[in-house]
Amino acid sequence: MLRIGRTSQRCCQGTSRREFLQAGALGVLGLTWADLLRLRALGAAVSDSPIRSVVVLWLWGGPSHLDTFDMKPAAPDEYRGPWTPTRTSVPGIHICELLPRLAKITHKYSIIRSLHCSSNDHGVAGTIGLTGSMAGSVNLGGGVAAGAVRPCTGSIVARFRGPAPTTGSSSVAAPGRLPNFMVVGGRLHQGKKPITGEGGGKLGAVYDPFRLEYDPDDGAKAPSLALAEELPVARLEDRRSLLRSIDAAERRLDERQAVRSLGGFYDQAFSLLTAGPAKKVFNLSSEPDAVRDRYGRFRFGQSCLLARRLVEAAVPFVQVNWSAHVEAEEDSGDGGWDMHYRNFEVLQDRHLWMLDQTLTALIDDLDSRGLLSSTLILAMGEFGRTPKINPHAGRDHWEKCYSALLAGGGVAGGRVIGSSDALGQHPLERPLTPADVGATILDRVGVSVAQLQQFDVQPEGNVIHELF
Amino acid sequence: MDRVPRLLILTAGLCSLAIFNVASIHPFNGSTVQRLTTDGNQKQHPAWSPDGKLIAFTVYLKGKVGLVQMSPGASGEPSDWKHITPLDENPEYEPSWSPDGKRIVFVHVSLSGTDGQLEIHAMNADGSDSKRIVAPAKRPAQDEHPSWSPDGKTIAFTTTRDGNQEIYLCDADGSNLRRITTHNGIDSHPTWSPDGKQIAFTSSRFGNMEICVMAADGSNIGRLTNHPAMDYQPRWSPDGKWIAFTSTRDGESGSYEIYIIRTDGTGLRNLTEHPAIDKDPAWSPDSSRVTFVSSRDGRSDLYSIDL
Repeated sequence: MLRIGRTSQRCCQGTSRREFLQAGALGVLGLTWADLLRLRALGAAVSDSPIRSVVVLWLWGGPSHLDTFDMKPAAPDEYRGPWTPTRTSVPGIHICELLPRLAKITHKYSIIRSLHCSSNDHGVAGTIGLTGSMAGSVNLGGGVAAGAVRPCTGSIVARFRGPAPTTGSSSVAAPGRLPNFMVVGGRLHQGKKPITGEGGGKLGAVYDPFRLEYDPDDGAKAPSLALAEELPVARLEDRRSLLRSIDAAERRLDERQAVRSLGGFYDQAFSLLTAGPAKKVFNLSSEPDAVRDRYGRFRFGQSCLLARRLVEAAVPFVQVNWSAHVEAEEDSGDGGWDMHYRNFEVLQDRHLWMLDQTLTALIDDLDSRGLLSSTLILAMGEFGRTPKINPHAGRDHWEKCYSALLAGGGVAGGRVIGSSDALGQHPLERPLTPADVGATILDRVGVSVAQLQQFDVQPEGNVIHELF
Repeated sequence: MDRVPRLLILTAGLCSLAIFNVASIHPFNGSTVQRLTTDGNQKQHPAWSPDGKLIAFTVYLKGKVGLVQMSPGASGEPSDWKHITPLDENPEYEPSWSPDGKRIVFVHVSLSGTDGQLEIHAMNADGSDSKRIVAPAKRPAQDEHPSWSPDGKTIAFTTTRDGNQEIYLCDADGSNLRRITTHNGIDSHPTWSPDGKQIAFTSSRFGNMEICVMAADGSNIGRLTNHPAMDYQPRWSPDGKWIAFTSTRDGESGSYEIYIIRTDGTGLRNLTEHPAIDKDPAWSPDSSRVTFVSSRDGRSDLYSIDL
């Protein structure tokens, strides 16, 4: 259930204050979501896409490639780590023994083992990972890379996809009612600072993701829509009127003709989450217990279940952030993959079995619902971790070589793309970059280079054809 | 087990389930499983007080990590917990009781920005007089996995102060450090035999994570388990007969199980037999039960199972 407020008070439209606050259709929403819907309608270019949705599982903090999908059992003790590779459903492909469920479905996904990028700074590499470019990234020290931040892949997809399809098999939401780019999880941070690149960049803030968060205690929330409890519901109409006035002036300057037909979008924004069918997509409690258990009753697990529901509702791009912070709880974070120490302790106690359970559940669930072929899944962090174990039983940042997993959306399962050297330090074959991954996603979604250029977005990377 | 006794056990289990809503009978081995907490917040490292009246454990609450105590007979609700460390920015975890039950040694994370430094601290059992006992190394190091010796004079712990995770001993006041393992692999989770003569621990020195046993001075290292899956988190039973540990050896479905094995390597037995994640074993003082953390009811709670 989507929850924001607590009190119960009826408003004039018959929607309770509680329901209204839960839906969050107030305040910030009135100013941004309506804009999003309006501008999406103005500039949308609906394509003939081979896939319907993309789900990016953003493993923030940088998972160790040597302890997940690119093990080096023959390496010396100070490199290989304490776990052994396990056989998978595909002969010749081995992954970490602590990923046994994923090992059983390797025929459903492919692994890239030769990713690399140009920075070992979370903020910079995060921007690279999400946008394909370092431009505009901010490093730990606050230094800003030259250039404007490129729109992230999700925002580009949102821009080019336009209104969600009006056909589909969704049973949980009315098609066309949800934003095109939704993030489940907190805004990405390095230290106390949010990173750049998780939004629309030059496409505009209207293509920033609409964010949901899932908390095991409170359920799904829309933090950007939080409203002070004391704000009277009656003031809503005043705000909407003000918004209309401001936008009326804007419209006179631009898009005069087109906007005339868009009067209904404010009402759509206003009612988006209060509308029954759309609201239902957030209500995980309507899922059978067995399904919720299958995904795992922890934040990432239920966030991925929410992602599946968004895919069912035909949302074109869903990103699930493993955590908002790179750091583990022990570092006052919220459980990221940045394990400079306790790498093995934390991976074996939490991260690996959680990833194993949830990612397997997501792939299998989409498969069983007939949605895997039309949904491209990517699991990736901003970099890998040092092949050599550091003096603190941890692994540090390693951007020179790391792994990613892709499934669905036409990805041929059971393949390993690229390889790394004997210690996992550098790509040995087929070096690839996050820009290549981004280009591959855009290609599968149906975004052409010409379309990118039409909106002044510089193409980056090359399609990884071996995946298909 | 013949049919009638099993039926009786199952009936008793159902009755207890109906009355307390927290106990159940294991369908295969007949053991009684009791759920000790119900809140679902992430938990780790349960540790029984020597008198059996309290269980201390690590809990993650709203992004904070701290130590709490509760009576095993209480409802298990957070309102029944006593916080023995402040739930603040500095996480604390992994409690280990002194044999007289008066002190608890644990890991305190000292944060500098978002960088953590693991330190061995000790406090009175009620949470008072908390202080760092193991002095910092010359170079930054991570100290964790403290375990108090049965005679109360020594604490075993792991540290990276030599550039790799090794097991060290120190006196109960944190002085007189001495290293007892030396290997490039991971050595962790030391646990004392009740006579204080041996230490069981986890090591990757044989190629993957196995349970090993050594003399308390670090000599005569031998492996107790030998399996390609991960065996870790050993806990020596107070009666000295068994070592409980966490294993993924039945983990084709991703499960972690609590196993017990005799100290001579015989009698290996899967104690939990459940597809959920079962880990962090802790013996009751009379060695009749093992308390552990499990996701079997969806999230993370403490359970006890009778042997």
